[in-house]
Amino acid sequence: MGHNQMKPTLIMVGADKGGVGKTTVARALLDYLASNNVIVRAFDTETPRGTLQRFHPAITDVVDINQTADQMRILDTLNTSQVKVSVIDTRAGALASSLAALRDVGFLDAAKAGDFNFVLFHILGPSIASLSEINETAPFVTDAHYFLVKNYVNDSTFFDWDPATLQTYFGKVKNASDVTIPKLNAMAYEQVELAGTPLSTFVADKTASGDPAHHSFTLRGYVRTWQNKNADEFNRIRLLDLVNGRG
Amino acid sequence: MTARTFVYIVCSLTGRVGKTTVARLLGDYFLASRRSFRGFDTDAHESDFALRFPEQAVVADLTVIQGQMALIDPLLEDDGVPKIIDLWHRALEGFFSLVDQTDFMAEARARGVEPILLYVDDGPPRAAEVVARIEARYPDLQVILVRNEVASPEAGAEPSAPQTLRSFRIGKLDPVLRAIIDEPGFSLSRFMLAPPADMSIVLRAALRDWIWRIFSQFKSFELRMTLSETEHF
Repeated sequence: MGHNQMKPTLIMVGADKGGVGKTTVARALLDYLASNNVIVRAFDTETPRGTLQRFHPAITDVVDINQTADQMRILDTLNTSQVKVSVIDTRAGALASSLAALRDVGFLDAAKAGDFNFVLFHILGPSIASLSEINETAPFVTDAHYFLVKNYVNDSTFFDWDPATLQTYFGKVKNASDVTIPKLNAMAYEQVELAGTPLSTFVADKTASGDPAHHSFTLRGYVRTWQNKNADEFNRIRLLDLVNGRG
Repeated sequence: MTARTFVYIVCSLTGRVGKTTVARLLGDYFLASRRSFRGFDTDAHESDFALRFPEQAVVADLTVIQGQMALIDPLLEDDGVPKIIDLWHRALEGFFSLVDQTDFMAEARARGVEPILLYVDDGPPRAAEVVARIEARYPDLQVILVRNEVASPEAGAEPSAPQTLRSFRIGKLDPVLRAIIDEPGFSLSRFMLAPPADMSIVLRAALRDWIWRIFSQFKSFELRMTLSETEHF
């Protein structure tokens, strides 16, 4: 590994439509990275109020990805030695434009030059129209680790894509593979939303300030099982290796 | 001595083997020794167990999340109050799936709550298979086979499971007595504490004998559990 500073990683979480559970996946990611002792910062682009920030206030800034000042903030954070990973939760429907904004400030060139690891989690919607979104994103992600995410949290059904069709889309992107986020019981999901805390805090039955939360054991159990399945999936795609530059 | 709370899971994969009778006997055993218990009836359609014990038992429909919470969350209270689950045969797989989804067994162990599985014998080869599967999946779970000769008079004629398995035996019951105890208002524990004067002496004696034989098996079991706990000191 040597004495060189490790390359920072930018993980982008995006979708081209709302309601596909993008922020849920971002939260699952933050939780996974935290439990593996990875120092993370997050950028919530749902200005001005934010959606991700409510759950991870200490590590999340709300930004406007189209504002130069905020773009520079993101890049500066990436260059900070302490922070290994930055996660950007892009605004629903703004994946392609967010990628364009990053291209315009030279980020994609920097990724191409090997200054950063660039990982994209593209949350897909259940219809075949989603596949065409890959067409839009593909030009931006030639030097990225590109994951197409099927999010079953809210029990969506996904169109069973014909393998040949799927392959033509996957084939457009060099390092593309798929990730599955499994279903979580609706009431358990709601309770975590209401609690407004990181997943691990909910499972540990604590409030944000560390006091006993008295959540239902049954619901905490469902969330913990869901966390474990997500961890298995992130382990399978060797996310930690990607973050550590061993991908 | 550690305060341990026992959770009795009365179950069988087959219906109509006398599962609710076993749960009922266990409930009345506690009441007859002037102790309370908390009961959970998982058959939302025919909640005989809950109807028998309106003050101690609730209905918990495991097909909905609220029912799952109503069952699982209270089971983890180490309050010394025994818990009895009348597990509807159609809810058996769902229950164990829930147990696995929530990692209930590990949490129970951590909190000093001990589950005990009472499998009501539904005959070979099924009983042996199911018991073996349960024991393999949960090696630390105590499993007791219950032979209910009231529901299945031929039970016990042929061994359903390895003889090494602990068992309780519910003996045959005269049809007249059966009819008496099946009456909605008839309480076995009230009978033991204060036998009704208007019942024939013969019937009273026979019923008391039948109940006593069953209760004494429960009592021996509790004593064994207490002794095995103190052995660690």
